[in-house]
Order: sequence, then structure tokens, then C-alpha cells
Amino acid sequence: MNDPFLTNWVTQLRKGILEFCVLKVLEDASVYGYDIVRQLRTLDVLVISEGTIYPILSRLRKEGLVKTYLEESPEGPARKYYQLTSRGKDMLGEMGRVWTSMTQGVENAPGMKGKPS
Amino acid sequence: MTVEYSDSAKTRVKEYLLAVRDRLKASESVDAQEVVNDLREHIERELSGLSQPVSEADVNAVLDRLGPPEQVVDEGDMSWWRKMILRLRRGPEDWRLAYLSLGVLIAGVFLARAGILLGIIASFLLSRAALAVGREPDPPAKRWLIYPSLIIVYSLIAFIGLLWPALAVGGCIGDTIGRRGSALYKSPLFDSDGLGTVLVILGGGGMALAVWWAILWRLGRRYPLLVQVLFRPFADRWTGRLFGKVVLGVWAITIVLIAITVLLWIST
Repeated sequence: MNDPFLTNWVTQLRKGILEFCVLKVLEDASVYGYDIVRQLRTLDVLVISEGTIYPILSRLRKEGLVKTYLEESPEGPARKYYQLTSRGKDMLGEMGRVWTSMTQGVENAPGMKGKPS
Repeated sequence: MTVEYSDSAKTRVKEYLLAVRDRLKASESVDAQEVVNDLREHIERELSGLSQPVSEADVNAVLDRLGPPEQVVDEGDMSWWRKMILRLRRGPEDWRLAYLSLGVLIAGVFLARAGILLGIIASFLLSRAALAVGREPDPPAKRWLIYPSLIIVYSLIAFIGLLWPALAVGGCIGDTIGRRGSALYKSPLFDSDGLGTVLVILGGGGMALAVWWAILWRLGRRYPLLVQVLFRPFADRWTGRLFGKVVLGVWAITIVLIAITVLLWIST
């Protein structure tokens, strides 16, 4: 994948989906930052570098979509947990709807049906 | 969770986090210190299960999974001037050299005459260094930074290296024709409207050029690497074939010129 156009396209695609996945991990419960990375590292198509997840978490926090709190840990220093804010929950719902309609739309688009590349 | 580092491992982590923080500071959408703290915690969590003190290899394995600083931080969030400063400060080395090359060239233009010459030489050396450490092929943006000085110097080398025999021989013939006592001066060929003078100078210069270029062509065919290295990156695909055709063309033109001159001489 040496073509700069393709590299840029994949980066942009991956970036948006990864933000969606991070919010999805936090959908049902608060999660320790390190555990978010551990859960997402299995998606090796999306998470090429684990380090990219922390700037995403910071950006989501600055956007007010997630909030953090510290919780004592028996294993050492207090851990930082991430949880969705009410705005984050609304946003995740919207993103889920957009994602569904986009994937269905792409699957049904002319030239896409029954043509796995 | 206390991690004990070897000296080299500690330095490696410190440098990595510094590089990430530098890049993050240029990004307005994230809190640089927060991300660096998260990354430090992540690194320590990954290393805590290993035998202590952890080695540089242990640290490298974790950092490889985290990704290089330039991959961790999306450059799309940065303004162009921040990207430029960042590349100057933290590389990659080839980009730093490329920016320096153009900077030195521009600085040289604003200085006195000697400054221009020094600026061109320094910029040329920096461009060659950027080529040496860079990945191939160079992205178009980098070419704009390193090519100006390369083009200036290569053009000078090519101009002098290719044309000096024609200039030298043509000049000598011109001087000889102009000398009052010489046989050529007395020849009726040069009493006309000057066409004969031009033809003899062009023919003599062309002959010198054709001989010299034939020598260069043979050398270039025998040692193509020499040409490729000398004019890198413009001669990377040099084989000498095209130059061979040019040499043949010069020979043909020269022979025609000499033939016309001889005919003109005979007729006068």
C-alpha cells in the first residue's frame, strides 16, 4: 500500500470507524483506558498502532462525548476510567444509524452487489 | 505496578514520549499531556508482567505495538507551519535536511555575492544528504525543497563539462582568424560577409564537441553508476542510449558543417 492516495484514503476511513468503535466499547459500561486498547487491539484491520486510540479518547473527551474519573486499583496507582456522557450516548446512537444506512447503502449500490473484490 | 527500567530502556521511553508530546502539542484537538500520561501508563502496564529491570528490547516491543510517534498523531490536525517546524525539530531526518537545504539557499540569495555561492554549495550538500537518507521515491513536496539547488549545480556541471571543448576550440579558431599574420586571416574565405568565419568556428567547435561527447558517451556506457551517482536523482535510469543518439546527431551536423566549409573554401 505505497500509493499516497490509497494510504490517505485508508487512514481517513480507519479514523472515522475507529472513533465509532471506541464509543461502542463504552456503550454499556465505564472502561479503563488500557482495557479499551486491549479490547480494540483484536481489530487488527482497524488498529494498526495501538497508540492512536489515546489521542482519540482525548479528542472525544474534549468534545464532551466521554468523561473520565479515577478509581483506586489494588494493583497500583488509581486508574482512569472512561464513560459516555449523555451527549456521547446521543452521538453514538446517531453514528450507529448513519453507519447502518451507509453500509446498507454501499452494499446495495450499483456495481457493489455480488462483486466481492 | 512499579516498573524498573535499564538505562537504555528508560532513555528509549523518554525519547518516545517526548516525540509524541511534541507532535501532540501541534494538534489543537487533543490534550498533549493527557495522552502522554495515558501512553506512559499503557507502557508500564505492558511491562509490569516482565522480569525486572526491563530491557530496551522489551520496551521496543511495546512501542512497536503503539506505533511510531508520527503514526500516533494525525498530521491532518496541524497547520502547515507547525508541520514544518516539527519536521525541522524532530525529523524524519530527510525532511529536516530538505527544509534546511531550501532555507540555506534562500538565505544565500539575501547575502552578498560570496554568500550566494556558499549558500548554493551548502544547500547542494544538504540536498544530497537528504537524498541519501530519504526513502525512494521522494514525495513531490520534498522535491520542491531539495531540487532547486540540485538543478543549479547540475546545470553548471553539465554546461561546463559538456561544452568546454566547443568553447575552447571555437575561441582559439576565432582568435587565429582574427590574427592579421595568420594564414586563415589571409584566406579569401574570410573576406566575405563573415559566413565562412562562422562556419569554420562552428565546424571546429562542433568537431571538438563531437569527439569529447563520444569520449563521455563511452565512459558513461562503461561506468553508468558514475553518471547515476553524479546526477542523482535525475540520472537514476541512465543507460547512455539517448546520449548516444545525441552524439551521433552532433557528429552528423559537424560533418555537414565541415563539408559546407570545405566546399565554400574550394569555390573561393
